[in-house]
Amino acid sequence: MTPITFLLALRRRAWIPLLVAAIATLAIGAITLRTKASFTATAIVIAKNPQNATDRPLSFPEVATSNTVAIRALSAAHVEEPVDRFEASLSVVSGKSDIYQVAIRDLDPARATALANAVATEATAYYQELAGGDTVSIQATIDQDRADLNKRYLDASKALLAFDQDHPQAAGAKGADPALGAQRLALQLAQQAAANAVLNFEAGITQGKLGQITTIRNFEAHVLDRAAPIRSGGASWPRVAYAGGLGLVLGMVLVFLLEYFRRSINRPEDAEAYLGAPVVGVIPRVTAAAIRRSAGAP
Amino acid sequence: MPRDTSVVLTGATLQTPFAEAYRGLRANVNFTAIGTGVRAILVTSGASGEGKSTTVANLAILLAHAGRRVIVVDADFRRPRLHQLFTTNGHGPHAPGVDGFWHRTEEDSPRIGLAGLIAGTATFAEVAAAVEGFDNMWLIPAGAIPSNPSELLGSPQMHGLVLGLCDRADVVLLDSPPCALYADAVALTEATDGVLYVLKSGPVGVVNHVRILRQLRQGKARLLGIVMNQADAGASARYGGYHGGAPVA
Repeated sequence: MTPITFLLALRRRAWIPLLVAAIATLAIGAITLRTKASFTATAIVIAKNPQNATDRPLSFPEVATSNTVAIRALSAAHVEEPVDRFEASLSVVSGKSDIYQVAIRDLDPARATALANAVATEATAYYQELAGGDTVSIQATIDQDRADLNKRYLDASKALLAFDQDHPQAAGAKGADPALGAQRLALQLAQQAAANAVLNFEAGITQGKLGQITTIRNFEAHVLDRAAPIRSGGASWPRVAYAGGLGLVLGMVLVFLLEYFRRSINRPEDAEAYLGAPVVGVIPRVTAAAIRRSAGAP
Repeated sequence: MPRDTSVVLTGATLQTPFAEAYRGLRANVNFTAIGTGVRAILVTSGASGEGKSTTVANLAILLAHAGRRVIVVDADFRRPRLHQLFTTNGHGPHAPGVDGFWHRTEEDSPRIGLAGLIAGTATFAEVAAAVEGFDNMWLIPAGAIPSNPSELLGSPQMHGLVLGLCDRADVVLLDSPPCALYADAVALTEATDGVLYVLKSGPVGVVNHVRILRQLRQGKARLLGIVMNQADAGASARYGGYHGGAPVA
């Protein structure tokens, strides 16, 4: 079949692609109109995980899709929804890096955005929490410990000074009461111990805490990009137009197949179209008897 | 008795719409072929039973009626039929046309004919027989069937023979075997100027016909067109329907 014969056949059977295109357009149009639009909000999160960790103690996608995070996120976003339905709308996609996409699909764009941001925030917090706490809480612990030690030293010093004021004769005087002297030595020892504790804290315990902070930072997690809703599905006129175009092409393919496998030539136009040569004569189907009758013979 | 739609025009049927359909064919052949210098016209088809021989006979009759000198050559060595359709002064007792059609037999085939002419064992005067009722139409029957028809028809002798026949007549019409079965027709395209392709209306293998026509176009002869045979009334109506008027040429 040559292109010209195909074009001629297409002109003769133009109703086929038009019909298929119309059906496809109507069908997709109806489906599109009946389908509600949904929105996908995606937040971007970085959640570090040391590559040299052999046992991979934490996996951010597992943490992000846990029930704990779901409950926390629903609470933070002030959304009342069953956890299982919420988790069905949640997806966490990871690439080769430590960057993850936390996506929520929902019919309400505001709710999708709020939930995606809540999941991102709660998942990063829970991830660090599981890794051993965050640096802020550790610093707070250090500050509290330091304050406690300082208070202990001050209390010991105050107790010693108060004893000396009450018992001035007990401080280094010969012939003083031995009991008072022993009591003062005990207070001195407590003050010295408190001072040593402060010094040891600053020199030793702080170093250990900083080491812990370094470890925790290996599992650092942050929200890189806040979520924004993106429309998907619903009424889409370009999609309807594509369906119409596809229907047109399918109809043309149908015409081609019909013409290619056609097994009958009944009209001169068909013969010219299919065989590419002019019809110079058309002889009717007739019997000898019919000719005789036509000629008036008995 | 099987029903047969193959019919040859006679004096009694020349004014029928059936004859008018052939007049349309004659007019187109005059215009596209004879008017442009095409003298030797091969009539062939894809399969057997399409109506080649009937087309050759009726076209020849109408061309002769129009005053053309016509030589009809039965180059169908596989199943020669033209000697059955024509009554000639030199070959047999047949009545012309429809009336005598049913009474003819294969045994009537002449012993000498085209094969002898190509081989040089017979002369034109010995082989060609004037068709009864015409003084400007001759028939060259197939004659004895050779063992190598394709080679014979594609030979330079055949080419020279056709050229010689063209000198004796205005139109030389050659009947041939179906192309799908034999290569004879394709071989004959080297010796002829134009080809008429007879196609019976109805269920056909379009792809096969396209292939055959492509083969025919590769020869020297020009494809003059398609003769659509046994078309239904609707198709033929636009070309002068069966029930319309029929002026005589």
